[in-house]
Amino acid sequence: MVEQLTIRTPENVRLQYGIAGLGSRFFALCVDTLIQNILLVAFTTPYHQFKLESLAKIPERIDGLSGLYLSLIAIFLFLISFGYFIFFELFWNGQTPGKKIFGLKVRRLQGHPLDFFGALLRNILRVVDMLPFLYLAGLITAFFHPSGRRIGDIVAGTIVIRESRRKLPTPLRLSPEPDEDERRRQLGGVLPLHIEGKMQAIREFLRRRGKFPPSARERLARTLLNNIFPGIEERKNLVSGEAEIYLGVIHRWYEQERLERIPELGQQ
Amino acid sequence: MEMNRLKPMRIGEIFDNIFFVTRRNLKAMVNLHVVLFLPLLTLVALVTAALFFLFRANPFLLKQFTTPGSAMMIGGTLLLIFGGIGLFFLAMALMFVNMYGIYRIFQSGLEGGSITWRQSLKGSLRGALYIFIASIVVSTVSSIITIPLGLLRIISPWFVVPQLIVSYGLQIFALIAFPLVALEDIDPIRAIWRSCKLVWFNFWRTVGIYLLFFLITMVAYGLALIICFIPFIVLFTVNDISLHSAPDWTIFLDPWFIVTSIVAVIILFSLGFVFFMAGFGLQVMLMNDLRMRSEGYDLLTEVHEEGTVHH
Repeated sequence: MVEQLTIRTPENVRLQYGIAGLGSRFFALCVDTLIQNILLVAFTTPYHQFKLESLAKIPERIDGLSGLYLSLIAIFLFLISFGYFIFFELFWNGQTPGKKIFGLKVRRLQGHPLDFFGALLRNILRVVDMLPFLYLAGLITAFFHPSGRRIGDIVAGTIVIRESRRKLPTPLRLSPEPDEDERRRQLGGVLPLHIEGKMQAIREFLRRRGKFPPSARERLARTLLNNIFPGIEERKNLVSGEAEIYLGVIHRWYEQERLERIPELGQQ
Repeated sequence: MEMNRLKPMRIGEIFDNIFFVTRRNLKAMVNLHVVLFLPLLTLVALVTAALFFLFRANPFLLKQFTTPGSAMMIGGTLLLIFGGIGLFFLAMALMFVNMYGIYRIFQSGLEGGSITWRQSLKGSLRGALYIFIASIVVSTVSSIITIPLGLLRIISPWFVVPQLIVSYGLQIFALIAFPLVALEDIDPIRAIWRSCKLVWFNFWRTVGIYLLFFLITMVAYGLALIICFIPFIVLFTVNDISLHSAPDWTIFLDPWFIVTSIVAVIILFSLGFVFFMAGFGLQVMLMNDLRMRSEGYDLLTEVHEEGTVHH
């Protein structure tokens, strides 16, 4: 049910983006904050040890170095707090490690990749979003904004979107490999006309079939098959696992016919 | 803006969808609460205020609530006997009706639709009764299992750990029984059984999501509570007010006190409302997610939309 933002380009191409909600953005921020804190601790721990030693032993000579070290830490703190997001969003395709884990991406509102000023502005304005505490201003703005944008996003003209989860279809392997011609003949030799609308469900079932509990998997396969070839369950007296094999055959059969139709479509 | 079809959700998406549906149906949810709870709250406020007025009691003096024979002790007892129990049961009944309505609003929102508070209450009496029965069954079973473990605490206080684990485990198993009662229109026993079965196949995932939500809610509300109470602590310390000494009434007319109280109430009430809604939303999202993961509910819906499903 992910909400989507549709953009029409001047060439009349429709681009659809799934808008990232507060939930995944919050978790991504948690991961990024954790990484930032690990970096900070890793960098400042040697300083504390160094400082303790310098206090006890050779204060004067080391104090100069300690001051330099302190200045470096101040710069590092600034870089980690603001530079972390700017760096990753700019050079890592609009993603920080947290965003990558939760499948999010920052884009310009028109769909373009994030540029330097966009990244700079949206991240500098984090300070405003954090007010008065715990990102409350950003939270309220994102909650009521139709595209879920916080103040930094609104000013910088950016939006946080979901990465597409669509995977490339992988070759379907069935075990044992069925005798396809025989199965096709048993199904009547012709695919029903209305099958196109149901192929998405079949494909999805075959992709996720290993994750279903065994009884649900069998029931689901039979229901899907029965929906395409009504009454087949009774006619063929299917044994356990057979409905799934039929679905696999149907899937390959459909894909094969579709590929065969492509040259015809090209000629038309 | 458009919506796409149902599909199994990742953890982030579950929370995203709670947020999307809440935002899109905020009006219906607020209206539902106002219609159900405003009359009740008004009644409670009137009864309480009348009692305070009748006994000329100072509500900020704790001692008078606990001193035997004091005005507030008598008033409190009367309130409890004549009003409290009745109001409590009324509140519980309204709570179950509210749950039913909120579940329906969330489900319709998740499917891409939107219903009004009136539509959400269609069939609510039967639904609320079923939710009530389901909650009684769940708490009875939970008590039967956890009381013996509780008794073992006599041997060692460490037995509280298995008791808590079992108690939370049972809560997780019955987590989606209430939305199942409301949305699948099945009887409470079947809903509890079905909830256990659905959770069983994704137990650790459900535990993780539930604990995550619990943690976020506790931390956020705890922080808000602390932040909202700091001004009061300052005010009470500066004016030397404690629960054992009656303060001067004029202090409560101080503009600082009034503004702080209003802001604190608004923040805590809004946050409480959002988390309360989110809790019900989480149940509905988990119910749908588990149905999709364990039963392929989304595939059946998709095929059903394209033609007739033959069972």
